[in-house]
Amino acid sequence: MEYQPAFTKVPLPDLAGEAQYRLSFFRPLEPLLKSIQAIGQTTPILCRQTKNGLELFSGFQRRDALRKLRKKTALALVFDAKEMSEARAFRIAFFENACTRGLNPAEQAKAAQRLKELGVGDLEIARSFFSEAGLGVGVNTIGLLRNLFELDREWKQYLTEKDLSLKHLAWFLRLPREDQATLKFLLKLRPTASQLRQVLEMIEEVQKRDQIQLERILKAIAAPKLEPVLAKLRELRYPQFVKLSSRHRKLLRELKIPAEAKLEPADFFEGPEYRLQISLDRGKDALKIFEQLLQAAAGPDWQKLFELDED
Amino acid sequence: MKIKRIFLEHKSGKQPAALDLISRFAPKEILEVAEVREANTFLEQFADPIAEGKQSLFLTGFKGRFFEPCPCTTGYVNCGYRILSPVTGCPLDCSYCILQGYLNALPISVYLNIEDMFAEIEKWEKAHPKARIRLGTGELADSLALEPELGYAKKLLEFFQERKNFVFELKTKADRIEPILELKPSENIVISWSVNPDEAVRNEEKGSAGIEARLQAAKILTEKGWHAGFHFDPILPEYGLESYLCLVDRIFKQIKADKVSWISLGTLRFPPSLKPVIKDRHPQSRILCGEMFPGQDGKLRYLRPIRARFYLDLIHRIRDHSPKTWTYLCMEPTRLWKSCFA
Repeated sequence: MEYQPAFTKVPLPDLAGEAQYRLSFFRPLEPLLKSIQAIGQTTPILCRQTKNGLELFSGFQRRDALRKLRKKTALALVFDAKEMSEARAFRIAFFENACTRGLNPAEQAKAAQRLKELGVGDLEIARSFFSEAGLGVGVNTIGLLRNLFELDREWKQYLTEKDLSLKHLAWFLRLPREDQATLKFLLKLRPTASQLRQVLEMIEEVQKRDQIQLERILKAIAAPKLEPVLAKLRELRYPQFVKLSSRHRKLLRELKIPAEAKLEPADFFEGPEYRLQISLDRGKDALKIFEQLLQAAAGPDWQKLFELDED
Repeated sequence: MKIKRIFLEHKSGKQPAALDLISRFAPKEILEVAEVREANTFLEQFADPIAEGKQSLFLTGFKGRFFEPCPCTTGYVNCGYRILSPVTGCPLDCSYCILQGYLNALPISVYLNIEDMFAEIEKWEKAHPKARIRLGTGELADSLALEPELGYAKKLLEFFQERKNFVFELKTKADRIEPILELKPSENIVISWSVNPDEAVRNEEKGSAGIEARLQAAKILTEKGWHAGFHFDPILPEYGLESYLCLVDRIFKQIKADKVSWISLGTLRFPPSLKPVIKDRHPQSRILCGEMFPGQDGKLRYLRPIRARFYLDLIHRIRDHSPKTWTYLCMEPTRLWKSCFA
């Protein structure tokens, strides 16, 4: 279809359309501010002229930057609502954003939700929008995007900033709202993306394995800092491994293995085998380290290292 | 499980065997394709291509070897088993199934040239007249899940009944024993079932027959003189040791011990690459919640003391019922074998 938009200046305060078309979330405005300050607005925003007034459908970041710079008007291409339906306008907004700078998960979530409101089915959303724009979002992920859309702003912002993949968040996103709210204490502990993923994964696995309420797990791992939370969770998630590891550490202490020697179990205690690694430098008494090791190996407790099934 | 569609490879299309299978499975769709990749592309348009593939057959000819030694796994005790693959892929949808990430074809490949397979075995037999080997079709497929429509089980049994130096096994999670009931039992044939506690079957083995139905099928066959085998493989410790011990009791309550040829034990193991597939396709599954760590072969396995506990207790329970039943471990190191069977 060939459009015949008018190239004009539009008054910034008059622009509606935020709820229907805006796809930019949690994006820094500074680069655009600097660019407009330096060279002015070079790309027009896109608007629809409806009987109720002007609707902005693409260029919200530019509009925000211009407002911040106290500009009153913006350069715009204005389309007549008769030639530019709401659905078509959204499609343009989607591709303009997705193909130029990509969409973060919160933006993908908004797009999936808005497309549903416009009557587009999940399969078509996946194929004719996400796949066509090269975003690699399959039809199975559309449901997760909707769950993300429903998430409260604080969670949404954190997950977007940390760039966590939706697949890693599937369990969390499918939780009831109240459980998501209960887990919000994690945000205060400021985990990195990988730590948050680990925590959520371990909670999910413990809950599934033990078939217990989330609350019980959270009570068991409660701590004011992230490290003890992670340690307690590991203990819950890998009880046998933690037990074997602490037995091993206790034995090493009893055997008085010098700190310079690392005696690590091979293959996660798969067999009674250990790897011995000794760090030596000029300042250290090598003979003393070897003597301590020989003493340990000759002692009565050495054999305990190889009796893995003993308590 | 209903077969929705059949992909026909161009060059196999007009074979009577293909037409016969089409009439017996009566799929909704028949699609001609040049090769399996075309079938994969078609299935990839669905939300869950693997699930869709499980309801599709790809009728083709096989040019490779039908008959191979079990690959087992590096660094672990070799089982000496041989696998026979007239079909690869399975209509059942078990959460732990390695085939989800193992085969290149999404649909179930049914090889039409099974006469070539029989010829290959005869040739091998001639070259190894003194060999006595154990082999079966349940490694890359379920031996009975597509029966009786497929009709291969009966042909295989008829073929091996005459060849006493082979111990042939049909391994299944189904209860479709009609083709077997048409034949007389043989000493060198074992019909075996993979078993798991009820809750594990419901949660992890979608599309399979319930455990009671499997045991009923085993009961019917053993009462008619057939030999049965049971595979506690994969053992899923998340469902509790007690439920596995009860399952041993159930088996021996229903099946006479002298009719049980063997029982294998193997805890779940899988390559780490399968984890995201399981997570994505089986969100209800509990199998990713175990204490699993990479072993010598890179596969994830339960921590050794957990495996040892299950094996030892299961072996004791089996021995309580039947001291003579041959019991063995699957894909475990020598050390664990020794400690379990000391």
